[in-house]
Amino acid sequence: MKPNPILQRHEARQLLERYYDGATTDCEEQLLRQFLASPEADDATFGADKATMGYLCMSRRHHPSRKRTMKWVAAAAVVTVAVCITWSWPYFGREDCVAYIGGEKYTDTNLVLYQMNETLKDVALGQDDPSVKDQMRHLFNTTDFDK
Amino acid sequence: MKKALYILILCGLFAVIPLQAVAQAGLHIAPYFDGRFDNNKRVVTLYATGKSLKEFHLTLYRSLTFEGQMAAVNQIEKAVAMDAKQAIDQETGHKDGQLVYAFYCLPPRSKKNDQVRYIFFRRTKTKSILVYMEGYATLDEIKKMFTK
Repeated sequence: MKPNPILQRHEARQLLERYYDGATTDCEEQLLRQFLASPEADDATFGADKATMGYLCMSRRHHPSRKRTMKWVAAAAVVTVAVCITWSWPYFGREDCVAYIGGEKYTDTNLVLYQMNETLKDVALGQDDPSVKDQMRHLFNTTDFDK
Repeated sequence: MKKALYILILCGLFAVIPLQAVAQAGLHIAPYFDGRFDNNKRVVTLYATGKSLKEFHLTLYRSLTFEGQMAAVNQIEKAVAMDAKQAIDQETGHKDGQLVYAFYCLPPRSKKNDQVRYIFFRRTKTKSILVYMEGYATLDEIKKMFTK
């Protein structure tokens, strides 16, 4: 369905003069485009004007406003940070001291430190391997190793 | 097309920032501390950071104690061997071709982050243990921790 031309020819000429002076509003430019697309502007009188407005429309399409580009950048940044936080949450989300024993979670600091101490003793003490004990003794140079 | 390329580059840049803050990142043993064994009844998992470790001059402690001979221990042993390549001090012991204990002192990550890093690995018939620590503790202080 063809848009009904709202402008008359003389009105269009006046608007075009204001358009080239940069004095038209967005609404007036929309009216001009509607007029130039209508059969009323099919003659050669408005040929150059059609070509000019058509070029400027294309230019706007290929050069989106800076504001729109920044919106994309902001959206990309937000998505990326959200993804990274979600991905790294297993490392950041942990409490100060946590122990998982038998599949159960414990957050008592004293318990965790006790388990830590027991673990380090297990690492140091080779209870079933005398040769390993000797080598560990050499490493840590201690005489009361079996305590 | 250009817009998509810009967005991809920005996504990559923003992704780098949080990754820098992940402890023990960059080590081959790192994935084993991601919580995968938390609900395993045959594994004791310990995580400690912050003020609870202050007296030990450590900033981070991680350990996994596996009951018996679990398949994951063989993979961990390989990861430890890979990380050992950057060790500045080490002590290891093998038995029947298998690593039964290892101690590695790794250099600081960077000039800005000058914390020393330690890896301990121990394998016996009844259990296998992997310990990772970061901090400013000297080797003497670490020795005292083992003999307390």
